[in-house]
Amino acid sequence: MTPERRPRVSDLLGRTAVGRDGRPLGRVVDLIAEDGADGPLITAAIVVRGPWGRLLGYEREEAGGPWLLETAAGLILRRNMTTVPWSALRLR
Amino acid sequence: MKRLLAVTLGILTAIGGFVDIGDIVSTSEAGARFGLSHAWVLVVGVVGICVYAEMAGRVAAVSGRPVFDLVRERLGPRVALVNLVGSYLITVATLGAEIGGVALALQLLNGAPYLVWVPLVAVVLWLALWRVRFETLERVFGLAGLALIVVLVSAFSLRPAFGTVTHLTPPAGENWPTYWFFAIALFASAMTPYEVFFFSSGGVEEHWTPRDLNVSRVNVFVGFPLGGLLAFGFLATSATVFHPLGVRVDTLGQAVLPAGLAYGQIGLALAIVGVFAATFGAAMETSLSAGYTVAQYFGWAWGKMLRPRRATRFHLVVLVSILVAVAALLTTIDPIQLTEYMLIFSAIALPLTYLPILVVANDRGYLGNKVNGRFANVLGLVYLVIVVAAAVAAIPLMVMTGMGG
Amino acid sequence: MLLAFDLLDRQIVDRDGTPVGKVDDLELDGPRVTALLTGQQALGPRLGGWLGRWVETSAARLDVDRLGPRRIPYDVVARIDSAVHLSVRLEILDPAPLERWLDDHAIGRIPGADDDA
Repeated sequence: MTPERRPRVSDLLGRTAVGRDGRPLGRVVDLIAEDGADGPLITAAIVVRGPWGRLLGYEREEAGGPWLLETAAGLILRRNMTTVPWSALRLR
Repeated sequence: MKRLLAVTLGILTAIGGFVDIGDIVSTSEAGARFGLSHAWVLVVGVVGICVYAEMAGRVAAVSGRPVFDLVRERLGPRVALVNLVGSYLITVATLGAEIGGVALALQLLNGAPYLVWVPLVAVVLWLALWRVRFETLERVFGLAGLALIVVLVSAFSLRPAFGTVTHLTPPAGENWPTYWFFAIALFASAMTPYEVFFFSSGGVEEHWTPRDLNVSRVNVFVGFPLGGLLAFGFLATSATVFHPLGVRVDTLGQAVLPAGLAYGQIGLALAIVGVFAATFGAAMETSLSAGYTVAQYFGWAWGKMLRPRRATRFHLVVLVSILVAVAALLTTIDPIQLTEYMLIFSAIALPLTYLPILVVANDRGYLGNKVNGRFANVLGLVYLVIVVAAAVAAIPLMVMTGMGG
Repeated sequence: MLLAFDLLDRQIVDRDGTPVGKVDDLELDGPRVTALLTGQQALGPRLGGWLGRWVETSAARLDVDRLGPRRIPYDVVARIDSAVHLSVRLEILDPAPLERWLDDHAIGRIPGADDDA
């Protein structure tokens, strides 16, 4: 007997997030989590407009150069990236 | 002696990249047809592989993560799978060529046709990988491969026209596309991805820690230049002996002949022993790399540091890869030609291997204060561009020249 | 912490550093991460397409008890850096079905499989 399939992170990633008015905001590329008492707790989703998927980690602080790659990633992110709080996250 | 033993991982890795069977023949062919005009490609290749192997070794020593872990982490499961398929095909085709190459070296020694030797070589290879310690394998074949130094020494005693190293044009009777096809083939094999897979996984097998950063660096900066020099030996002897006569080189027997011309039977014997060790070493490097990449993509336990029962999936991949390589050889396909076709897959595998290394080598989450300096980053980016350019140019050149025909 | 970036696709190692699997997916209870999922049954759906389905179903065939992907409760995660370190040893977790099958029927039966290299 197959146990009931619980939701997974991959069910959220890649989906389209929509605003309150139903307008698409972009695709969910990552989820921000804080350490909770029993496991991380998702607080917000990172939503990116356009064709960008994984961003090689340049959305984090530890990522450094090469300058050229970092700058290119920074430009793309600044223009296209927003965060949506978990409570406001609606998926399509 | 202890210091010499500490660099055998680098030497063995470099032998698999620069003087494996496909390289011995194609480098000698380049020398026969184009003289010394491709020598610069070896220099470019040595610098490139040094830059990236140094980063990969540093990441392995500091974080304990081998290269294919980084590929999967930074590129995600789908793109990493594309790289896995491309890299695996290159690696197994090369493995087939090496098993064929060891068999060819045995044929040179006793005359029995090489296909007879193929199954035997494969069994010995598998037994070595199943039973013998990693360090032992690395030392025996890394050091025995150094017998190829006889080819390099022959190159000097045969007095090549060193002045022509700066003639960067195809000689009369050859054209530019063929010149560039050979240049790209030599460059791609110098930077072939299984070198960094093997080198970084070997570092993990040897339990490198941040204290071994210098061991890693010495391996890189001794091993790869030495590999490049051995390749230069084949290029220069062939350029000296065959180029003036207008003779084409396409067999292993021809490639080792100049060592015989310079030092008689002893020279020839040493060269054949060197070829035998280098190709057997490259066969080990490629079969282990096949296991390393697949296991690291899926997160399976891997490596010779574990008892085989604790890494059964890894050992299954190694065994199946050897069987596939043997099956391919027994179709009587030309093993050396097969590796040349693999240039197509290098176009996919090279950028998708080196980009994640470069990105992670800058990540403080992995390396703390051991991240790339500006020098490594500039070289890394330059080589990423060269790799992509070579990858893009390879396919039209293959078609235009009929594989360098 | 970024779930996709810092957790997904990282190597899981046990307390002795032995590879356990990749973080192929994460199990959720509302916004809370309850477990790491590892193995080809969890990887397949992320690959998508016919290939992903094949990876998932071929792995499911070996999983005779139909337990689904291997599940590692989040409370045994000790720390996360370049790998996800567990606070327990590999032996107390469910074994990977393919690894166990090969041990019982193929690789584990070859002489020398139990020897230290």
